[in-house]
Amino acid sequence: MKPSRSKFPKFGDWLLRLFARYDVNPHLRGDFDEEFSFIYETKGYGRAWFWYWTHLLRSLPVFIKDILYWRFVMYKNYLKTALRSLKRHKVFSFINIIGLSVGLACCILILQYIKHEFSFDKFHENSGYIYRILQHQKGNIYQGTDIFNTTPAILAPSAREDFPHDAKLTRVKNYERQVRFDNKQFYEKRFLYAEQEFLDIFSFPVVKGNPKTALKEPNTVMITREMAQKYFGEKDPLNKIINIDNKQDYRITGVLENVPDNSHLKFDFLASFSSLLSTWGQNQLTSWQNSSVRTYIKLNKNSSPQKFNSQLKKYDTVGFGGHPASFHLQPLLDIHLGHKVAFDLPGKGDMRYIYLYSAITLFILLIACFNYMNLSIARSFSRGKEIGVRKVVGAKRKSLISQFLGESLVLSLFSLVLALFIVRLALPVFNYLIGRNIQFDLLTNIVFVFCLIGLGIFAGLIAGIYPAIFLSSFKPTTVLKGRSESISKSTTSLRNALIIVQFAVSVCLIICALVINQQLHYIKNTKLGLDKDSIITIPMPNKRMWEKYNVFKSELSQQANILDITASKSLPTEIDNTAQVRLGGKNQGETLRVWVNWVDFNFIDFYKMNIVQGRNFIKESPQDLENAYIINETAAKAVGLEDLRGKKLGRGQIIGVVEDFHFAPLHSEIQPLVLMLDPGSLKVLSVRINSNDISNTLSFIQNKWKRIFPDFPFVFSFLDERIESMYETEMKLGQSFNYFTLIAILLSCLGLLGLASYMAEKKTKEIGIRKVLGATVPNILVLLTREFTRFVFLANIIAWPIAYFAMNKWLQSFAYRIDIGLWIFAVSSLLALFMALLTVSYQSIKAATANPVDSLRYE
Amino acid sequence: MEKHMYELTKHEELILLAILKLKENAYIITLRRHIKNITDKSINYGSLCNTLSALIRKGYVKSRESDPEPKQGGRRKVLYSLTPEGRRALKKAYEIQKLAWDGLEKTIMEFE
Repeated sequence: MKPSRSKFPKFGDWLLRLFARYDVNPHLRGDFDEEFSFIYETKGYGRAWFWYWTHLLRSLPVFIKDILYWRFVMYKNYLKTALRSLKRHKVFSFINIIGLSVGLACCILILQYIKHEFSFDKFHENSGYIYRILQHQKGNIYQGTDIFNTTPAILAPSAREDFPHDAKLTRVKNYERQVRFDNKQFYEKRFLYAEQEFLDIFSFPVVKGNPKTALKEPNTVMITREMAQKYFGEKDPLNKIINIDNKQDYRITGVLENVPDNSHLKFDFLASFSSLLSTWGQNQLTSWQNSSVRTYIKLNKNSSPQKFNSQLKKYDTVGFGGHPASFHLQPLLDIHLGHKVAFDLPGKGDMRYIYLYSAITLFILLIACFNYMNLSIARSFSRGKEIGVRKVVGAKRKSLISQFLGESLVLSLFSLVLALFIVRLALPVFNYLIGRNIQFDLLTNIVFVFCLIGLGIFAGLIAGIYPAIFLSSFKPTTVLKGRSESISKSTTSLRNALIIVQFAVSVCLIICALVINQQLHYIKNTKLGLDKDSIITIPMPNKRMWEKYNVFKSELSQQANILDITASKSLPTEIDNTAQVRLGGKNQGETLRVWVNWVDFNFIDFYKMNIVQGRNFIKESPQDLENAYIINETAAKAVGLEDLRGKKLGRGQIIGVVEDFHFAPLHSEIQPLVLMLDPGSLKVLSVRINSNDISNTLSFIQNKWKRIFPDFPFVFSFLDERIESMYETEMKLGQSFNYFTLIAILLSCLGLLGLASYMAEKKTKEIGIRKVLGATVPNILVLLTREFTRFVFLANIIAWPIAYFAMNKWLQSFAYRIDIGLWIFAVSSLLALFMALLTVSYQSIKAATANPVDSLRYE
Repeated sequence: MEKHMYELTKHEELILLAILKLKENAYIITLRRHIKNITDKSINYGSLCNTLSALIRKGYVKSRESDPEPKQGGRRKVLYSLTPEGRRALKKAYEIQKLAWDGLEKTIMEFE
C-alpha cells in the first residue's frame, strides 16, 4: 500500500528544504521521501515516521552548521567590500551619511511631535466617553466661526436635573487671579473653577486630600504639586488659607499632580465652582444669558452622543444679539486637533500644521534618499567590475540585490545613530518652534525604539532599492569589457529627474520662506494708526486699585523720563469687547455690532491718534462721562452720515471720529469701534517713557508701586512686544521654514556636489582633449555647468505654481497682506541657481584648469 | 597504464559491484537495499555516502541527475555509474581474488 501524499511529514520536508544545501536539496528530499514510503509499505506508518525524524534530526545540525558557515563567509565578504567602498569614496559616504542622518533626525522629531499631538487627553481613563458641549449661535460670527465652546451657566444644572441617568456634567470657568500667601503674591493665569464632578469625569490624579469632597464647599481650592512647591515649599499645604484678588480667602483642600503637557485643559489652581457665587451672584449662575462657562460631560454607558445631542435640543434658546443658539457634543479627543471654535484655549493644535510639517520632513528625507540613489548609480561604473566578477563566479541576481540593499541598510542604520545625536541637539530649537515641551528619552519607550529601527530600514530600502535592482542587472560581459558609457547613459534621465525634483522642492521652500518673512515684515511695519513705541503696560485688574489711580499717576509724573500716562479697559491693540447698538439712537434703527473700549479722557492723545472730525473727550466733563462716544471711521461709514455732529448711536452721543487704527491682529479687517469714558471699567495702565535709561525708569515705577499698592504684584510688559507676540504662530512658522529651507538646500547642494565631482572625473579625458584642441577655461566651465543650470531652470518651472498656490492660500488668512511679487520668484530662482553654480564651481574649476598632460598621459 | 592501482576495500568492492548490478537504477536507496539483501546486514546511509564520495573522488564512480521521478515526488535523484577506471579496478580485484581462491573453492566448501 502506497502512502497518500498527506501522510508525508510536511514539516520535516519543509525543514529539509530550508536547511539542506541547495546543491543536494532536491535529491535529498526525494531520497527521504522514497525511503519513507518504502518503510511505510513494509513496516507501517509508525516505523516510517520514526525513521524519517531520527534521520532528519541527526543530519539537521550538520546542515545548519554548513549554511551558517558559508553565509557568514559571504556576509563577511559583503561587509568588507561595503566598508572598502565607503572608505574609498569618502565624499560620497560623507554626503550620504550626513544627508540621511539629517533627514532621519527631521523624521524622528516630527514623529515625536505627531505622537505628542495625538496623545492629547488620552490619559483620561474615560477619554472615549467625555465630551465638551459646544454652542452654535447661527450667524453670530466671532473669531471666524459661529460655534462657541462656552455655554450658558445654567445649562449643566438643567441637564443634570433633566437627565440624571445619562451623564455626569461639570461647569468649568477659567480666570486670571491674583494669589497671595504671606509675602508671596503672583498673578495666576491658570486658575480654574469647577464642580465636584470634575475630578470624577477627568482623571487628574489627586496626591493629597479627598477627591470626593475637595470641591464641594465654597471658597475651597486644590493646587498642583508645582504650586504647592511655589507657595509653601516643603510645608504641607493642606488647610492653608490663600488670598484671592485681595478680596476672598480660599482654603486649600487638596494637592493634584501637575497637569500633563498633553492636556488641553491646563490649570495650576482648581477652585470649587460655588466660590463664584460671591462674585457672580445667584443671577449670573442661573442665567441663560451668561454664556461664559465651559461644560464638560461624561456619558454613561447606556447613553450615546446621538441620543444626548437630541436631548440637548430641549435647550435651544436665543443667544447673543438675537441669534438662535443650540447645543451639541464634541468628543474630548477631538478638541485638541479638531476644527477651530470661538474662545479656544491657548495651545490648541492644528491638523494643518501636522500635515505641513510631515510633508516638509518627508521631502527632506526624500532629498537625502535621492542623493543616495543618484550617487550610487553615478558611481555604478566603479562597482561594475565587482558585480561582473561576482556574477562570473556564480552570484545570483537575488544575492547581489540583497548585498546592495544590505549596504544601504548598514548606511542608514549608521545614519540613524548619528540622527539620534542630532535630535538631542536640535530638540530645544524644535520645541520652541512648535511651542511644545517634548521630552526625548529613548530608553523608556521600547515601541518607539522599534519605530526608529523601522524608520531606518524604511529609509535604507527607499534609498537602496533602485540602485540595487539597477546594479544587479549588469551583464558581466558588458561591464567586464569596460563599456561603462552604455550603462551610465541609460540612467541619465532618471538621475536628472531626481535632481530636478530636489531643486524644485528647494525652490518651493525658498519661495515660501521669502513670502512668509515678507508678510511678517509687513505686519511689523504696517502703520497701526497709533504710536506703539516705548510704552509700558501694567495690568491693574482689581477695582480697589483704581481708587489710588490719580495718586499713582501724579507720583509717576514727577519723573522726567515718564512722559505720559493713560488707562483703559483693554489695550488699544487688543480690544475684545463687543456690543450691539442701534444706528438711529436708543431703540431706533438697525442694530450694528461694534467693538467697545472704555478709556481715560487722554487716551487718544496718549496714543497719538488723529481726530478726523468733531472733538476729543474733555477732562472731567460730566456730559462726556455720561454718554459721549468717539467712533472710528469704519463705524462712521456704517452709520452713513457725512456730518456726525449731534447724531446718536445707541444711547450715546457721537462727539467725534477717530482715524481707523488696527485694534486687532491684521488677520481681520478693521471693524466699527466705539470709545467711551468710564473710570469704573478701567483695567490696564499705559505709561509712555523715554527710551533712554529704561531700567531706571522701570525701577522707579516699581518702587512707587510697592509703596502705593503693597498688596498687588507688579507686572508689566512692553506694548510693542505684546503686539509681536500676537503673531507668534506666524513668526514660528517663518522660522521653521527658514530652518527647513536651509536644510533642504544644503542637502540638495551636497548631492549636486557629489554628482559634479563624479561628472568632472568622468569627463577628465574629454576636457583634456578639448584643451589640447584649444578650448579655453571659460569654455570648459560652460560645458560643465550648462547642464546643471538647465536643471535649476526646470525645477523653477515646477516649483513656481505650487509655491504660489500654497502661499496664496496662507495669505488669505490675513485681511491685510502683501502681494506675491514677481521679484520673489526671481530672487528665489537666482538664489537656487547661485547655490547650484557655487556648488559645482569648485569641481568644475579644478577640472577645467587641470593640465591636460595629466589626464591624457595614459592614453 | 602503469598508473598505480588503488586497492579496493571490501566495502568499496561491494558498492561498486552493486552499482554494476543495478545498472540504470543505481541510487542511494536501491544501493543500500541491495547490499542489505546480499550481506544480510544493514549498513547506514552515512557510511554508504562517505564511501560513495570517496569513490567519486578517486574517479571510479560518477554521478548524474536523473529525470524527474514520480516515485520521488517529482524530484530528480542522483544516479551512480561506473567509470572505465572503476571497471578496471573491479576487474583487477576480481583477478586478484581469482588467483587467491584458485583451487581452494572445494576445500572451503567442505569446511561446513
